[in-house]
Amino acid sequence: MQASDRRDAGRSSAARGYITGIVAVALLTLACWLLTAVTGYSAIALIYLLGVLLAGMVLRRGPVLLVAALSALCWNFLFIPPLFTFHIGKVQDALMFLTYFVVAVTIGSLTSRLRAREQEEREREQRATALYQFAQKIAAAPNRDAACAAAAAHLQQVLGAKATVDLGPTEISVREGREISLPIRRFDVAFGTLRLEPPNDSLTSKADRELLQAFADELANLLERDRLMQIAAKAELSYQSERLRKALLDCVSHELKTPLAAIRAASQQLLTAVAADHDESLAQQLAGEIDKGSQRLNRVVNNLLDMTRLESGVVEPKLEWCEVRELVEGAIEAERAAIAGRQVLLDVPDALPLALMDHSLIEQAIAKLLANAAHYTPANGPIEIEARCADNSVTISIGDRGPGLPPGVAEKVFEKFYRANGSRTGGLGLGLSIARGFVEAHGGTLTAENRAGGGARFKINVPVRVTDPGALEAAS
Amino acid sequence: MKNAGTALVIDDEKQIRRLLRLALESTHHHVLEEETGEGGLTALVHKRPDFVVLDLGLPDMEGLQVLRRLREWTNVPVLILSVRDDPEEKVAALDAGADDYVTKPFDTAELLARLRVIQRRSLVETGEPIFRVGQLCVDLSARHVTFADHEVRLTPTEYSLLRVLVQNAGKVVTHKHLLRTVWGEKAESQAQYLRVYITHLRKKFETGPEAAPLIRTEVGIGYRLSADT
Repeated sequence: MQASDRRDAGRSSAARGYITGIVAVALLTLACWLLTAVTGYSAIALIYLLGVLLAGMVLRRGPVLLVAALSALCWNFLFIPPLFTFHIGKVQDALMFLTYFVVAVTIGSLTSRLRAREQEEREREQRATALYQFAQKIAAAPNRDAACAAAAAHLQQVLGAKATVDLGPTEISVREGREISLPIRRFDVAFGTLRLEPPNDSLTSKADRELLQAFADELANLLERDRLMQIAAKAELSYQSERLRKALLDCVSHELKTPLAAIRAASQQLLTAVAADHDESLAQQLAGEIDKGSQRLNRVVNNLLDMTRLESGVVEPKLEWCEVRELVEGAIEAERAAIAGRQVLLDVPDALPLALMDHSLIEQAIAKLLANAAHYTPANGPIEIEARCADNSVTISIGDRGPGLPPGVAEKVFEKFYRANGSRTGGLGLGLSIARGFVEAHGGTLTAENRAGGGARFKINVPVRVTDPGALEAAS
Repeated sequence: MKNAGTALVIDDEKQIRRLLRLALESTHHHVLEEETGEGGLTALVHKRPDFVVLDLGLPDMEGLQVLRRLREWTNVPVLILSVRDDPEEKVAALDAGADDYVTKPFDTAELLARLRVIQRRSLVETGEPIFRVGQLCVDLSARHVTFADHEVRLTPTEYSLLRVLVQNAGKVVTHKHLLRTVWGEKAESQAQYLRVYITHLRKKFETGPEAAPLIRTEVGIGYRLSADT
């Protein structure tokens, strides 16, 4: 990245470093030439040394060593007597020259090494930051595709290289021309390939390759996590659906087998009773049980069939002119046994117009709401039925004074096989969902709400053509 | 009319309770009815019935839970009467201490017969050391077995297996229970031992194809030694 760019730039202008070094020595020599009259030639060595030290801070190792060597030679040639020769006359001058040379080279190499280490440190930190930002970006993505896109975008931004992530076949790590391919894998699971196309010959050093592989590995980690989470979610889903299936099967078999068990037990006992010539009343009682059992079985089977019909979409309302009062009374009649002993309050105005709907379906829907009210409210609680006719719609509501709907289930009660917690035994939880199906077949709505003052209310609203009964009579 | 014992029926279906009452009263039982698990447990404490007919799906708690709670303090015979016919559920109920399991819809005569058998349990455990069924005679005190008046030689394992079945005659004994009592805790999953030894026993008590088998297989659950004489 920036580090390697810099290094590349350094390499291309390596010569510039050496030129800078030579120029620096030349300038220094000029300065020393002016100063030598004042300081004497031995102090010049210190000035040169200062130059080497400064060069070590800005230049690379090679140019610094060049500065050190060159300054030693300049000092010897230009300042140490005899002047303008490399010959050194005095022993102590020779010693000083030697010492200078060693010190200059040592200082030069030490400072440049220090600088190199600092540079390395900075690069490592940059890599760590890049990796951290990369991990953060892809982790924030909502799904794997977004993560791959985020990864490519981030790499493009920080490397300046065209980056693509191919999920699919994984290639080995290769470099073809400028294009670099890196495998995205974790342990044995291969996820795909990360492809990079840098604009120049960058990204070649070992550190760069390691960093790129670290990016690919980070992406692989994320994809692996995503994969495991998907597996876990799938397992959870199949466990839940298995549980639901079993609960459903239990419920259906309970509802079918219980009345069957009653019929079977009663008929067997009836056979024994008849054979043993028991009294009439026992036989009557047993026959009554058979009748009750078969009625219940009939109801369950009808519900299952109705539900199947609704689900397969073959319910089509046969529209006819209906009198709303007649519908309501028909439903009450159908559920006479279920609502026995209850007060049924009818609020159906006499002047209601006729409405065009399927008599049987709407009557059944009302009947199911009545049965539901009877099932879920205390025995002998009242049931109120109200019918109203507005412009082109009929509203029929069935209210009770029972416990009402627990919070949050006003919609749920219409779900198939939904049964309120702790509700009384019996029923598949299909009645309300069938009633809604029948109403919706008319393009109407069936909703549930809690009433002010306690209890629940179910409201059928059907958009229909209504007519004034008088007008119809006049017409016919 | 003598009282044949008090039955406690715990079932949330009113019609089933009514029919059980009619059936049990025809065999001179006194019948108590309860609709919920809690109610059943309370009635059990206060009214001390002689046996219990328990449904598995109750409105307030699972029948299995009722069974576990009552087994904490009483050995009263319990028959499970349920629509659930999954072998796993049956095994769970039997392992939790149920004496027998009948599925709905049920045969009234068979239900009454099973109820007679589970009430007989205490007689086998405490009284008579000699058990007879059909041509089989087992003297538990002398460890002596005869079949059709001939002595039958059994290996120690065969004998222990037969003994467990005899002690539970008429009732279904689960694979797990048989394996644990005959082979020990570690053998609980080794159902193949059982298959082999049951085959040995059946060979030694050959009843002929037309007669009812002496040791009945309850598929996926266990074995039942016939108790009808």
